[in-house]
Amino acid sequence: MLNIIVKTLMEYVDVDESTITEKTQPVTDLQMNSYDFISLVGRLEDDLGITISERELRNMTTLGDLDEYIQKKMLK
Amino acid sequence: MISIVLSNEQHFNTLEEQQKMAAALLREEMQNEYCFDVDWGCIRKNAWGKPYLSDRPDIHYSISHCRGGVALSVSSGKTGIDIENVRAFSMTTARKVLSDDEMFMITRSVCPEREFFKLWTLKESYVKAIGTGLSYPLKNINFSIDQDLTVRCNRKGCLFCIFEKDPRFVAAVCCLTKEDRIKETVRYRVLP
Repeated sequence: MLNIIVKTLMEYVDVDESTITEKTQPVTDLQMNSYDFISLVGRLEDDLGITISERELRNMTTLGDLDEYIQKKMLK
Repeated sequence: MISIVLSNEQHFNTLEEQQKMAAALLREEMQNEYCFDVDWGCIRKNAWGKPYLSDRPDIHYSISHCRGGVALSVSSGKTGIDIENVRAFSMTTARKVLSDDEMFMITRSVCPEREFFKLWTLKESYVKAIGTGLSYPLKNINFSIDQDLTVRCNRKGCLFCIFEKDPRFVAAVCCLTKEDRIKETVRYRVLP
């Protein structure tokens, strides 16, 4: 799942893909702007057929957090 | 003081160029407004990442940049600014951050993209002004915008202004104040 997140993320940022890990914080480390981050989440929702509430999103800081959340959501 | 610099396609397209322009703008306007030389070592960030000047707690500022645009707001009170390129957006993203009334506003608009980014920049300017960023529930801040761009918000103690002189950009500023209008001067510059 992290691969899918990173592939989608790469459409928004101009960084070396190999430097991105589960510990990467998109807004802090990649200086992704707030709209692009929300837009990235919206894209993942559309592509994966899930819903991530804004409330839940506020607790996720790293790509690993997002990955873990999506995996749990898709198992339900 | 609100300062907005826009350019054609040749200037600050990359993040690095935008950051350089933002830093130059901050240095210039602090000198103009407060005769103050910014000491980059004194810039700190709060728990949500909002920068502030640790050696000048009397001055508040906010910076935003996008492709071809940089915006800065400097004030004696808390302030937030956001600038965005007007572009396509997804309805999934919109539903995540807009209230039902705001969704109605964009669906009936002749230019949904512009309407969406007006609402987005207003919300972003507010969460930047209060210093919480996206940790604040964006759907809880509701806006309506009159034809003359007068902004109404369900939050007290804050004033907003929208800037949309150039059709490629939308910017919004929020000032936390008890005044009845934003008194900051506005400087627009368009680079050739």
